[in-house]
Amino acid sequence: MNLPENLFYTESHEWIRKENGQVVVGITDFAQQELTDIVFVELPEVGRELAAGEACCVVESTKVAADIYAPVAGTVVEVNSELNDHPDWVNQFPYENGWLFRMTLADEGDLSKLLSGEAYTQILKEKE
Amino acid sequence: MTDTLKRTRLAPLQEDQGARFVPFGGWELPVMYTSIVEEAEAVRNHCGMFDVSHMGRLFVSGEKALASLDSILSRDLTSLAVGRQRYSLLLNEEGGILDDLMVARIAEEEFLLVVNANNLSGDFIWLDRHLDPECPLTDRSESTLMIALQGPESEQHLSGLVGQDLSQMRFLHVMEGQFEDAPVLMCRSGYTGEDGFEIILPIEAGLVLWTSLSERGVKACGLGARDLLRLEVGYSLHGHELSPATMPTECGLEWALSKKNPYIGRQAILDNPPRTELIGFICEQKAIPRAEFPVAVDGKEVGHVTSGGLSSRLPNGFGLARVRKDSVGENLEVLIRGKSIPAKRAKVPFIPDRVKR
Repeated sequence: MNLPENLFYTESHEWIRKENGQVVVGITDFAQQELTDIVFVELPEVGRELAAGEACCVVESTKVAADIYAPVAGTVVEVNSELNDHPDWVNQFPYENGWLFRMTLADEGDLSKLLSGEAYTQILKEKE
Repeated sequence: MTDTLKRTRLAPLQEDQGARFVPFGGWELPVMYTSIVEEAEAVRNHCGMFDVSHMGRLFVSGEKALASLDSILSRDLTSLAVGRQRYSLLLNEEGGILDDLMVARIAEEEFLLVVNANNLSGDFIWLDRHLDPECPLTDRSESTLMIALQGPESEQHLSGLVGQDLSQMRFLHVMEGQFEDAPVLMCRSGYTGEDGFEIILPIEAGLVLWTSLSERGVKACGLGARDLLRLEVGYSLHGHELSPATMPTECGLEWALSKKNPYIGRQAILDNPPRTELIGFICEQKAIPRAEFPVAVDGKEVGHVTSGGLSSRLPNGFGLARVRKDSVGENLEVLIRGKSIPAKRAKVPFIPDRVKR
């Protein structure tokens, strides 16, 4: 299981990378393995304002459609539209080319509510 | 409340092969091993094996078995020769579909009915009530295993293992054989649209067969791949396309109704014109149209998706839908999570089958 140290995580299996005062969001290696065969990604609209915890994106595998939640409050500024043609990148490169969207960080304090890599690893261990 | 879910006797082997189990009709069954997409590909291009032991295997025998079954099942059985099988329906008095099944004539006076797992107990009660009392009805679902070997390379693998030439067997032929000194029943049929066999055999021999096929490189496949493959060729699934609330005439199954012989439900079908129909469609987007999603024409709801999927052999999400009769022309919309996605009506099967006719 690949879990980069420098990221934040959520219990709902999103990863968050802080970049220039904004955040980039994707799903974790664990999440992509659970879903397998990702065939479609429904991305949020650029400009959409999101509350922390709001369902805003759908990652769909042959098995199931999984909701992705905004990890923090903010506005969507960019989406990874390459996924329209390559949804499988979420499986292949969950932390790189498989990123989902970039959003502003309305409240820096939201980051403190996210999980560290270590805390997320612990949660995955408890699931086993 | 948690019901205890049953597992087939092959489950321990499947667990070692990395199966992921999901609940299905009282059972816990492998939905996939590595990837639904890869497993479906294996079946189309080579060969794959499915554990379908959850399905019901009912045997009916006796001098009056043929006449009695013929008066119950929708299909004409009088022309069914020994060593052949046929798709048929079990209808209620209202013409609703209690179950769809395969009926095989395995001897002059012995028939095998392969029924859906969900409906096994209901079918047994229904048959027991309507069969001639002189026709014993036996459920051998628990004393046997059933493995579906599907794909163009199926014959070579099975033939090698049972030591029998199977080249004369064609689609819907049934033949007996031996494996591990146990009797094997081989039916050239399946639920994937590919050539293949459904093999019924005693449990111990079945465990060996699964392992032997695996050692020959046959990929273990889950029910997710089976569902995708059956949908591509437009086969209905009871509980999705078919139900006691729908008549065969609403499911494109007129061909499974006997024209000469009376059967349970016939009068109701003759008396009641179909109100709904089953149609195929292909979306203009890759989102998967899942069961129960609403279907509309010009913004007006006309029905719902019964099954949907996404196949590497079709451009976009596709599926079957139950709609009000004659409500859909060429264009329709599928409501996918609240968004209206345009779709076009499509011919079923979406992809032609490749069974050995």
